[in-house]
Amino acid sequence: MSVRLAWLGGRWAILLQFGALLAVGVVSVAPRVSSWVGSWKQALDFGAGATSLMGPVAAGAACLAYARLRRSVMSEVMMQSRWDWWRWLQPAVAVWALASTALIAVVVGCTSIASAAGVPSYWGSAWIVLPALVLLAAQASVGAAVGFASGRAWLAPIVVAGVFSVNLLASAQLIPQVFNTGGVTGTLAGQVFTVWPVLMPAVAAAGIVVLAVAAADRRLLWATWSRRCVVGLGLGALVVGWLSAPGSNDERYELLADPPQTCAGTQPQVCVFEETPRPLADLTAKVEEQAVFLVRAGVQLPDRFVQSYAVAGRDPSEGVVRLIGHEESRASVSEDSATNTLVTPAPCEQDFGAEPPYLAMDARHLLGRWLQVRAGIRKPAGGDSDRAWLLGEQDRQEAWVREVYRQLQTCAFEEIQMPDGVG
Amino acid sequence: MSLVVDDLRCSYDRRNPPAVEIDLLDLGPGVCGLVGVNGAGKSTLLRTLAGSRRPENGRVRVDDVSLYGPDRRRVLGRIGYMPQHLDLPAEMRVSDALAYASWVRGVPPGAARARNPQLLDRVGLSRRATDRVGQLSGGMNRRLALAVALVTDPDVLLLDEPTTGLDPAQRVALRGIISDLTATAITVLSSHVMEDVAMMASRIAVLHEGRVLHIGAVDEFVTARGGPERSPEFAFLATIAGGGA
Repeated sequence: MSVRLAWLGGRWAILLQFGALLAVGVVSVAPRVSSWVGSWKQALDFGAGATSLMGPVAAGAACLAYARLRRSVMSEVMMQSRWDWWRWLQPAVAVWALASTALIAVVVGCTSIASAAGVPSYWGSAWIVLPALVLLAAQASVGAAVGFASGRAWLAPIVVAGVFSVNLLASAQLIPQVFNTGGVTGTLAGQVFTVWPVLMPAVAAAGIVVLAVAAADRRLLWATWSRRCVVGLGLGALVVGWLSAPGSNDERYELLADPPQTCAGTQPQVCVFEETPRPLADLTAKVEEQAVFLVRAGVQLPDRFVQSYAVAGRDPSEGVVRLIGHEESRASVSEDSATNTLVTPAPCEQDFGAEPPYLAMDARHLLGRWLQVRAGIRKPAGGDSDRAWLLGEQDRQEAWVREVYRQLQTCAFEEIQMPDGVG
Repeated sequence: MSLVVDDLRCSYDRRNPPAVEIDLLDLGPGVCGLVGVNGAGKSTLLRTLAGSRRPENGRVRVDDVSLYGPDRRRVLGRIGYMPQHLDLPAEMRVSDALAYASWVRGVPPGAARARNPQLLDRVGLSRRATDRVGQLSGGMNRRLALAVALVTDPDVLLLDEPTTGLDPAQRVALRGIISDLTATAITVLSSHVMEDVAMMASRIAVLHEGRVLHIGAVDEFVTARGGPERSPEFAFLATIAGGGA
């Protein structure tokens, strides 16, 4: 056994710790696999966010190792070393290395699964793993400090719970997002990680490492002025990192002005973010199938339907792709997503205003139901308020469809009139 | 070779009297027995002499180099320290434990590989090199702790209660090993077993409530204070009862 792994236990104990770290990492990402599988960046973010469970386990492992070290009195011999602080830190470094290896394995696993699912890679974003690794170091060092200061191995479960509860405080936004390294529920398509809000928690975490070591054993970092300066720097890093850390998770990401798209189909053409291409083929097929009925009714469809988060800068002649829930990540989409896309033939400011465009929403809803009835996807039920209209005269329906589609296409929501007896 | 303490004060708590308070103490050369009752400050003094515990005041000088001064690194490697209860990881093999101790003390790997088998031989553990530390008896564990103290081939050897907890046979065996360590210029041996000190040390320092009550040759100490029986225990008790002199 390598001397670098001393105090972590025997070979099997080390394997057990690594297995536990890997297992909690998998537990933290696996339940949401259907969410992140369609986006490499989200897979990366989710993997990096596994620190929320892996960090507490690393802290517990460090607590156990340092409780042993304290009881062994070997630290007295370490203090005789030229590199006393490094020798003392070695077990924590070993725990951190185990945890980091497990975290990287989880991240590589997540991103590999996403790549295997056909989404493009964005290695330029991989740097967000570094702050996660620094946070793991901070969490392990807290466990080391508690273990060494107390010499009590039974505190390990309490350390695990304590470190985890700090994550909960951050999730509840009661403290800054110092311990948040990822786990976003959106696809991050068309978004990039912002540098400082992601790095600042790492600065705070580095400060925690220094202060934890200083608190664990006064001899380590209080012995000389140069070492006291390191403690001062650590304190400064914690304060600066804490105060500069993002207040909410949303600050970690920002929208790209014009995210690249990938397109398919011709009648009409359908485009989704290049980063989340999985639903494109199925969405295009379903849009084309449903679009036929609008064309037969005499509707002039936009040439393209394009995915977007914002109205600004959008071509008003292009429709808007609207996917339901996590369908951005899935290879198959619902008929409703295709319908919602077709009934949004233009990007309109009103859709993003303070007051929801209720009339336009009602019109899109009825138009979508009409389309799905025509396409044979649904049948009007007995109690539906629009049943009579949907089963009524076809010419009148198509006249309303043409008119309302033109109004939706020109964002003339105020001109919309619902059919008599509906709405 | 010299090991000198001056104006030394070690405190754990400012509200209480210092654990160690010594104006001047010259511990070399040869073997010096450091005796005192439990809580007399022996372990604190040894840790301070080892370089493990920075004193609140005063100096420890090894060949006139301050152990806690800017040239500390020059002398650290010359000191070997055997703590009272060294408890190495039970799952480690004996040879690995010594390799680990060598790494901790900064011994180059090549030198450690060449030297550690000899060390194990010196402490009588060469046949147990592949055993787990947890399989060793109490006496063997103390011998391993002694080997750990010797990994840097020190000039100064500090032994904190080396025979505590050992049965008579193990105690005699360990005494023999320590007595054979002739390469060490200065050995400081703390114990509350007067027999050990009388057998192994040429000089004795009596520590009581952190202060040195007496330092001198063991023979003279026993002759002058040991009563008609020339008992080391009696000499020790008479010294702490009388407050020194």
